[in-house]
Amino acid sequence: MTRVLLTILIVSSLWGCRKMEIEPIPPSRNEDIFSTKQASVSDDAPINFNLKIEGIYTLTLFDPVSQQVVTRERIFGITGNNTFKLYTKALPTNQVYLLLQDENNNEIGKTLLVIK
Amino acid sequence: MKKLVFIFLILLNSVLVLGQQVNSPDPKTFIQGTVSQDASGFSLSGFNSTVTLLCAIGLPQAPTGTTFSLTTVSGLTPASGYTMNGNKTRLAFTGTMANINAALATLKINTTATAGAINISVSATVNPTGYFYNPTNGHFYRPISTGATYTNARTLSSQQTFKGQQGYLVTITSADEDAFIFANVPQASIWFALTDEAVEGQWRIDAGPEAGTLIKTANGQLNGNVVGQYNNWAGGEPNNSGNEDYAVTKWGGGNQWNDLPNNFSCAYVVEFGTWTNPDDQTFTEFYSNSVTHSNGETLRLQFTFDFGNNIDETKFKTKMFTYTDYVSGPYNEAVTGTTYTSLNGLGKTDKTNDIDLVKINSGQKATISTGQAEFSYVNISNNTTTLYIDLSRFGGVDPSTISNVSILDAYNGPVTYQQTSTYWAHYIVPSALTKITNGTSSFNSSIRNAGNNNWAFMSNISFSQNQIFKNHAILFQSYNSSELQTLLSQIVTISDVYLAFKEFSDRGIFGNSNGQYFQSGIQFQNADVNHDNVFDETDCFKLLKYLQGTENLWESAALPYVMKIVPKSTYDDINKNNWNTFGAYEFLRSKYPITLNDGVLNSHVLNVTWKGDVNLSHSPAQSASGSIANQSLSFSSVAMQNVVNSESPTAYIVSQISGDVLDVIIKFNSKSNPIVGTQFQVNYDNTRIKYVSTDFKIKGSPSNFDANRGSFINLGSLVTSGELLDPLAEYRLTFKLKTNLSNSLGLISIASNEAVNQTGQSIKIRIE
Repeated sequence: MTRVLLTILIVSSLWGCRKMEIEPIPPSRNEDIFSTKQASVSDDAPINFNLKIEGIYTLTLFDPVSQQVVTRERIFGITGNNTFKLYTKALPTNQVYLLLQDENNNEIGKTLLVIK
Repeated sequence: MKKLVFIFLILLNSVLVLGQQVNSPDPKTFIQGTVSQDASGFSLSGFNSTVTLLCAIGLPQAPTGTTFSLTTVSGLTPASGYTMNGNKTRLAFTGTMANINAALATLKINTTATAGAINISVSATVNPTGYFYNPTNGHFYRPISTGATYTNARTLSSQQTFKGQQGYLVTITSADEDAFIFANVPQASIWFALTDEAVEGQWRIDAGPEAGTLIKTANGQLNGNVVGQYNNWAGGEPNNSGNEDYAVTKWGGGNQWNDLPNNFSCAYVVEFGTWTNPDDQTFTEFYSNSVTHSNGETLRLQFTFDFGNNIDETKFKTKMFTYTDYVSGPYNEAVTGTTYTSLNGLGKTDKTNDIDLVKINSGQKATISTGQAEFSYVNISNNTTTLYIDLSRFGGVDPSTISNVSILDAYNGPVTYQQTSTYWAHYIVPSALTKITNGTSSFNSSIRNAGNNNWAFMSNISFSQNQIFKNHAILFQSYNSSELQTLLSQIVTISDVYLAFKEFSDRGIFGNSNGQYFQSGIQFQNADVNHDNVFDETDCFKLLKYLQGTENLWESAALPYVMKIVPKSTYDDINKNNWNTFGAYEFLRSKYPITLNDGVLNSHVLNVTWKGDVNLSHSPAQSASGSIANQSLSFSSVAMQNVVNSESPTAYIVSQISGDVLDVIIKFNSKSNPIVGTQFQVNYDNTRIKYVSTDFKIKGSPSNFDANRGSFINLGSLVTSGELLDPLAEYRLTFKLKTNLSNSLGLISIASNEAVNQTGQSIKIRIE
């Protein structure tokens, strides 16, 4: 009986943890900014992203808590890699969502930026 | 009559919608080593009476062994891990506001023989499902039962937000917190933020405010545990068996820790809150208050500064000074060894340790001790206590020089000399001497109730040089100038200017009417910006010129010229009729003088308001001491509508770089709100761009303004003629690039905004 109880105890103790596959870690900051859900950035940081089609886009920063837009820049995006500089001195919060939209306001990418 | 009803409705609305709060009692002194002492006085108000609330009571600071209990717990449900009955150091429970208030009214404290401060904190919020609140540190915890690897748990935790706070993988820094996790999370083996992935055996906290803190320098249960840091490893752990770099608590369902490899899938907990004192919490829609009582009578010095809403109290630092001449200075001396410290989230600071204990001579002290004859007595009537001392006892001492007395064990403090009569010297004692009248004095056998409210003492009288503390003052540290500039631009806005014009224009053609729009004497005080004790058009235009950036509102943008410190009791008594009797500069200061009494709690409750804060958006509301009849109302008349919704006015912002110019367009839409004014704070990176001008695309003839404050533009329009502002007003700002900055983002931003409607109400604009 004692062995049965001991076995149950050991099995139940280990139940909380079971082995699983390791998920991929976020890509580095030099890759497409929208390939990660979150990135740390500082003033003058390069922001990279890829576009399939050349055209007019908007980059919007908005506060994740209040959902208020902080700033929006109208840009001309080129096919392939685009590099922008993010300047943070004028931003009122230290966490913002970066949202990329096309001319019809369709969302192309979105990520949370934590400003250092 | 209609206007009175309207005002009443606004008042009612303010109370019903905006008045959610926790009320706290005044500080008191408990008896040491005594159980079940009354600690009532906390209550909740302003919450929806039918909603289930989460309430938490904690003792963040108290002598070891101090506990509390609730006598009445009807209708309350303990939060997970708690029971309602028995003595506690913390307790969380749910119930309606009425049931919670009934319980709080029966709050009792059990003290130990150890003297010291007893801080009681009470918090309340609408009960959030799935979150647990720890009243000791004021943090919320969200258990996640879905298993994850350690690194994913850490990432996923950091992506959560709750009540305005970013989450992080739970940290465990005390046995108390460990026990809290154990009690509230049903799963076994729970990841928490502790790792030695950087250097094997060097265990460091991996998230939250303590991230990077080294708590252990070697593997093994007790090896290398850093003194002062909390470790709770199971026997033989951590052992790095199979490259185990991450920690779990509640290992195997027990109450200790183990190290595991990343690829295990375990439950985890997300923690919200970065402060150590619940008073400092900044959760949104979460209300807390506290009081610091004393266990035994000791000299203490505490301040509570009420800044009202919309001010972060923790931005302000204070320090104690002594002085010999408050008015003319410069005789201030910083108390040796003290430094500026921040107010907590409730505007409180304890300066007991910052008192200059060196006393100075001040008059004579009479000490009344037990003796053989009735050489002294007191008369206590009409709320006045008069002490009589036999003139034959004075010897060569002049009775008029007595400034302090000690009366048995009933009183030790200052007195005011009144007169001498044939046989007696008379003094007013600022105390009801309850120990004398209720028979609790240890010297009761020497006290005789002589009738007619007289109590006589069989006493000896001795005299000595009286010593008192130097005059002290609490001083606010000079605020960072750019931050103060920003704060002031938020305090004095378009709403204040409009309200001032509205009130002034409503006073009748000869200025002989009271007006309708100021509901508090403080508003007149703050609107009288030229300090001539008259509120008139000069003040209105001075406010408008400040908004336009053409004239300074303050002699200097420094705290002594903008900040007003007013004792709460005085603040509440200011009304429309007496506001100009206090002196033009009476309250304008950043330094507040006090006198100290020994052996007691010196508690100062002070309100902070601001020159130019006409709508009291950044000032406390007046308490309900006044009435409509005496024109001192109990609310901030122009409550700010901070919440944006689908009916709020909107503004669309977009910018674009063309060559060496950055163009910014802000398109306002009133959404049918009766808007008369707008204001936007547009931040700009002044190291990279330079402001040029704004083109106002607005119909009508409003007063437009674009004041350049160095790192931001104060921009907007105001109509004071009674008409509405163009509902589709548009602002086009032009900046010049200092260098080539094509392909950039973040050079400008909207930091704050405000619209004002025809009734003077400030409304948030939804930025789209």
